[in-house]
Amino acid sequence: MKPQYKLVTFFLVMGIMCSCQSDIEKVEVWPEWPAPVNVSVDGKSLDEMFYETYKGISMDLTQGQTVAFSGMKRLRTVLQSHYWDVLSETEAVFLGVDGQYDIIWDNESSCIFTEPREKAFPDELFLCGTGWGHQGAYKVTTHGWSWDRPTDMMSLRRVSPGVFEGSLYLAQGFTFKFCKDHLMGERQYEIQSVDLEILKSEIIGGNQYGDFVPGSGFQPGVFNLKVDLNSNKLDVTTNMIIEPETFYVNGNEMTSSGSYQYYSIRLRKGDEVTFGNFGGIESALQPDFWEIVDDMEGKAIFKGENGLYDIYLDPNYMVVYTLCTSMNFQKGNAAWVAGINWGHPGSAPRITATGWDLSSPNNCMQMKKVEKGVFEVTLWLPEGFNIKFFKARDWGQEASTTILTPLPESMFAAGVYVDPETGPRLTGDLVAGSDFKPGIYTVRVDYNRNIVYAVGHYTPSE
Amino acid sequence: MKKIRNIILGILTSVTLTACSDNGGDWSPKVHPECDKGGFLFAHMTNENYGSLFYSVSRDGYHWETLNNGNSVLPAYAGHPDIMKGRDAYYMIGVKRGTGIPMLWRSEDLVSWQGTKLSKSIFNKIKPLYGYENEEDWYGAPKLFYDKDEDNYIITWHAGNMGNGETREEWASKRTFYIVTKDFKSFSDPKFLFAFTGYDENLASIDVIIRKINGVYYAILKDERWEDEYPETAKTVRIARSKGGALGPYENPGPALTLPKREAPTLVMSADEEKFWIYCERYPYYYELYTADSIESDNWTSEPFEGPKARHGCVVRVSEEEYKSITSTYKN
Repeated sequence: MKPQYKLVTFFLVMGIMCSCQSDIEKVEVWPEWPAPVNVSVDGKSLDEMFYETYKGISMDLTQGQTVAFSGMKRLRTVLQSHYWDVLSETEAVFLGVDGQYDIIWDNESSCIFTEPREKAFPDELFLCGTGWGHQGAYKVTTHGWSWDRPTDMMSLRRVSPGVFEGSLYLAQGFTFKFCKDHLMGERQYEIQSVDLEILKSEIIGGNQYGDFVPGSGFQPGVFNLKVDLNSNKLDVTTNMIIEPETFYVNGNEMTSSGSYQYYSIRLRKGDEVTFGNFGGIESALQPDFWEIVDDMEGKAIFKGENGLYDIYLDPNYMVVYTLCTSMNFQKGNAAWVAGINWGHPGSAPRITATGWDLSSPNNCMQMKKVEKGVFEVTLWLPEGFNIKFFKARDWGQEASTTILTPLPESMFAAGVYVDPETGPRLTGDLVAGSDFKPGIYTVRVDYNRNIVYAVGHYTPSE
Repeated sequence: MKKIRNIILGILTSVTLTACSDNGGDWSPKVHPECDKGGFLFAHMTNENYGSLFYSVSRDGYHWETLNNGNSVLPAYAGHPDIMKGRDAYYMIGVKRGTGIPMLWRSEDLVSWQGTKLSKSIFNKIKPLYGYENEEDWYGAPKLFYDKDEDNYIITWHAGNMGNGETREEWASKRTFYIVTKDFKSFSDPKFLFAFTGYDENLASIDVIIRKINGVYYAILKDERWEDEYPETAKTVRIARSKGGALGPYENPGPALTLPKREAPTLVMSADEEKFWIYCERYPYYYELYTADSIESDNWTSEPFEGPKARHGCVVRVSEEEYKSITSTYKN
């Protein structure tokens, strides 16, 4: 009888092991989970610790050296292609310059990150940001702006003095900067978008913070970057077939301008304009300036003041900004709004403003003249919005809640800063009142009576 | 002694069953009939790359290979893939990622896809009409059916009216809507697809696909109600029948054909065209296969298969030419 029990117990244990298998797999998502025991590089197991929780190995490598890998599936997707030329499922040739490198396993992505041991500019250059990943993982592997993990600061391969190359996956909405010496946060350590001429600006552009961001023709995928610090140029290539999208205004092709598609047009009140290849335009156009005639056919009637307007399409959000930057309160034809935590009405519930800035279309929107001294703008306002009004697109022209009274008090409030020494003072910001609910608001500023209030409120789908 | 043995055997059996339900059981290759010509294409997303389009292929529907080295085959696509063979080409609906703009994708060969933007208003009319609201990230996994009898395309999707959060109330409020179009340029106003009665009067439905079999229309759906209120059918896949037309009226759906926590069903005939196969997602892990001799069967049985690492998708039968074209373009 005893042997029977032993047999039963054996099957019981085996059964429990089988049933627990999926739980073991789930634990694999932890980055600190050690490398699989059977993974080795040149016959050596990955038993050194990096960044406190990552396993790997430090090796002396020479350019052209063939290195053996074992215990990994699809080596091509495990290794960074700018450092390794994969020959087979078990061998790859090292492409970097001779030196000591850390080969670090990331269990979360099942990828290897290769880093030079001495992280010193000008021999090395790094990339850091959000929305990017190991090219083999084909997904976002970074945890954001940090240098605490091998996944967060990618080493580019030096191909010649001042010239670096790297391959990576870029997702929608990525941001990155190049960094010297494995550090960031200070200008001296950063190479920003303003520092380089971007040769394919339709794929990668720059923003006002110096980040590299998606261009107007960007699509997620794997990209090869070449940074030439001798000529200060960034080149971008990809194996993907990117079919550039072309957009039209009255049949005329819009041109690429950073992250935007752009067209300049002289408009008079009552003009009918056709927007081509926008899909529906109802959510794309600002309702303050446009009355939709045919959503799918892209026809709308302009209802703003006569003038020469800039039409900016942000293809990443599919929203249009209509603005004439020369218009202002003094001329009697416009006021302006800027701030943080707000969005184009068609983008709701997404935030399109990226910061306090009066130069970018998404950060400073034109308010339409309603009557003399009265202007309005339709915005997506979530909890925590923070905006100011300006009489011109100029910081010196702020004319906001230091002179305007928000009405009703329960909906809108004037921002207050409590200075520990001098006490409370108005900041000039318009912020949410106690009864405020997120939504799309048409906000009207009346400089005749010095009040600011909402004349319309819609939920995002209305 | 017998009692102890029975207890041990009981535990052993239940442990083994648990193991099998997690696909830890006997998956030794069986001989399955292959398609005479062509095979199956599984267009799906993965848990790691939610909303991206991956291709897996199979000759027999049991053994699958994910193509393109496990990379997305169409990086510009975002959505819950559901490929439909229409009047002149294949179509699927997606969204321009991050924008809330619905996209129509068209392909003549399943390799090269062209995207066209649609208007948000096509879907969003449910708000002023019925008080329901779309979440614009995915628009409730829109699916397509080509109604050959009427020469119409029917788009179905689900939306709720409790604020779009991941709440119990929101999921219980999901209803399936449809719009009809002949040309993807003009669209009907949205309407509710179902008007069930009795036990199913307040059925929350998602992931609905429509298929026509022997002159009868079937809507395969997930009952999205909650287990504590509807323990017999909650979170299972069920089938409703319409003898009227693709747009109904649909009878109350039949019993649960899957275990709970299954969704995103897709229906194909077996390789030998003898059986009906419903693949459905045991979220968020992998797909399962349920088979039956008849679409109206009350006895759908689960069969183990070596599925791809897939979430929400669709399986379509493809010709030999299409199969070769897909596998040569996206070879590993």
